[in-house]
Amino acid sequence: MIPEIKIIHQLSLNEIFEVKLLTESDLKAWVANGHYLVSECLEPSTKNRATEFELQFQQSEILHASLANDCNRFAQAAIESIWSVGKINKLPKSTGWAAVQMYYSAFFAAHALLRIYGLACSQLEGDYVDKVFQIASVTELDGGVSSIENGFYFSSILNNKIKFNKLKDSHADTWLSFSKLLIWLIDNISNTTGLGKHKSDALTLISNIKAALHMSGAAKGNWPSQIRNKVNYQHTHGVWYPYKGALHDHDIVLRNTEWLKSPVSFDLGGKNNDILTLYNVSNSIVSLMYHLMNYGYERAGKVSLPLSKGIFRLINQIRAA
Amino acid sequence: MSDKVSYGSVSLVRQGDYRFYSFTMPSDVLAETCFVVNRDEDPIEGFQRELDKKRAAEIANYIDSGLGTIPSSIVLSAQEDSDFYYDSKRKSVSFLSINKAFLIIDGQHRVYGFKLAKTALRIPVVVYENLSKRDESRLFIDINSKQKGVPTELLLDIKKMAEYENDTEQYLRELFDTFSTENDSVLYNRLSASKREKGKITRSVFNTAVKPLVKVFGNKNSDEIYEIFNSYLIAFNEGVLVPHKLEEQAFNTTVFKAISGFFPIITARVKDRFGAIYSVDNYYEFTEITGQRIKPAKLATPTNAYKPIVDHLEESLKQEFTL
Repeated sequence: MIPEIKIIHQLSLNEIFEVKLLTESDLKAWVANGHYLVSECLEPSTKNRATEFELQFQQSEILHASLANDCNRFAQAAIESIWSVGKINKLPKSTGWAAVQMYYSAFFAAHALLRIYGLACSQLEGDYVDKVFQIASVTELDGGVSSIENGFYFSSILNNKIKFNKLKDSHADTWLSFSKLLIWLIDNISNTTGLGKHKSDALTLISNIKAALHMSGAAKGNWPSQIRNKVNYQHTHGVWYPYKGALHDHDIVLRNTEWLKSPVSFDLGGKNNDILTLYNVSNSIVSLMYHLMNYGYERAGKVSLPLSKGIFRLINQIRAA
Repeated sequence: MSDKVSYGSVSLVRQGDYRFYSFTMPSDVLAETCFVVNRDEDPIEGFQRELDKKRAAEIANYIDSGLGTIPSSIVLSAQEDSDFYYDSKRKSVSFLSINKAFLIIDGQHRVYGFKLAKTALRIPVVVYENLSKRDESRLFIDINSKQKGVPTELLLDIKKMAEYENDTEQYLRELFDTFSTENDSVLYNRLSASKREKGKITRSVFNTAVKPLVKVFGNKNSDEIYEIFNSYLIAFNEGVLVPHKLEEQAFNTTVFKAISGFFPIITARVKDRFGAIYSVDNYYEFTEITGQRIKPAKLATPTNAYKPIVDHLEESLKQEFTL
């Protein structure tokens, strides 16, 4: 394992890799089960509805298992997506859907990476937030609000509390949350234990990914999302027939197993070739996710039931096929 | 002529071809009437191990502490001169209170401990009678080869619960537990608290390896020592083990003891050059040199002796002096 991964792993929520519980609970189910108290009085936002809340829990085991299950689900989706990227014999120059698949594999990997660090972007439907509101009302911490808004929420764990804040856009705000995670890693790498050179290399890796996400003025770190939209909705970059103006090397673009390499092996420099860069950025994010999960899983003695029955079984199946 | 003593509430137990009696007798009577023969005293008939007086004294202190109980039975063989008699109607036994009435098959240290102790207790005993010398020695072998001692690792682990730890043991336990849980620990998931596991350092090995360092640690608490020792272990891994692809050897018992034994030597060098800044990089300055000069086979195929490895590491660390 490359030393950069060992450094970056030190800042993770290691309990994710120690889950031995056989449960299918995910973060939404954990919220719905109501094994917590509301720790801060709700405050009204728009239309007298709350858009943030903080929950206090005593037993962290189920919450960690729920996050591990979520993490595993997204990791599998990322691997499935990236593994299905390939050349179609009758359309050897077609890279339109491949680009979208690469984007989604990176997007799912970003979700998985957030959870490795105890963070999450999750869709909470009405029934879930109603449970929180019920508990707030019973304990007289509803603050006079009429309800809690359902929707897309960012959550973060700190000690025995988990805080939820409502987001707006499921893609742009996921990338923003991921970008904030990268900034947090950059700020905290100096607090890890290791050789200065390894810390410096880890810093370079994370900084390069962060810089790539913010290319072309993408303030929310959603450059991949912007390229995906252009490719998908404006058919730019020559990735669709008749491939007009295509600048990328199809053979390079259509390699689909690059993510097994180390995350430092991808050129994230840009060089005016958006499609090639999108592939490299996506590969590096999936690679970062895979190597962090692999290291955490092995380091903990391969005890994690969600991961052994999930992503690592999937990878073994695909390799054996 | 000695008096005959008698004790009731005796159970007669039959196991296979053997029968024996189970009852309790006062510890002072037990101490006066039992004897051992060891091989040094009597090479023909003796089979007991030599008595460890220190161990017997510890047992005596344990009994006199007022908290001690020793519930396991002393196993005895009644000798012909004892005139041992079992009364089946009264469920009692009687025997002559002479100093060689019973040969101790199992429990010589406990009996000697009872002799040294000031406190009198009633002790459970199991008495065989009419055993030949061959039967007595076979019984001794059976008892001592088939009963298994509690692993040291487990004893160390439960000492905390029993509140038996001394200050050093508590310190080492805290350090061990920190190494077991911290996310940056180089020993995470490579330590085993209560049992022996392949590829893991047991608590007893950890204690044996680190205990000599406690005096070097000075007044620093276990959290501070964790930071320093963990930094050293990471630097040792990067500087010595990684270049020779020997990372797994860090969890070999002998090598771990050697790495720990090398700690004071290298730490003195770090302190001399960098002051008391015990970072990974500062240790690496020296582990890198050591790694370049070692003979990898010394770590790859260690014997049970760790001190020669420490000597080799120290030798490798020494700079060649040239004008």
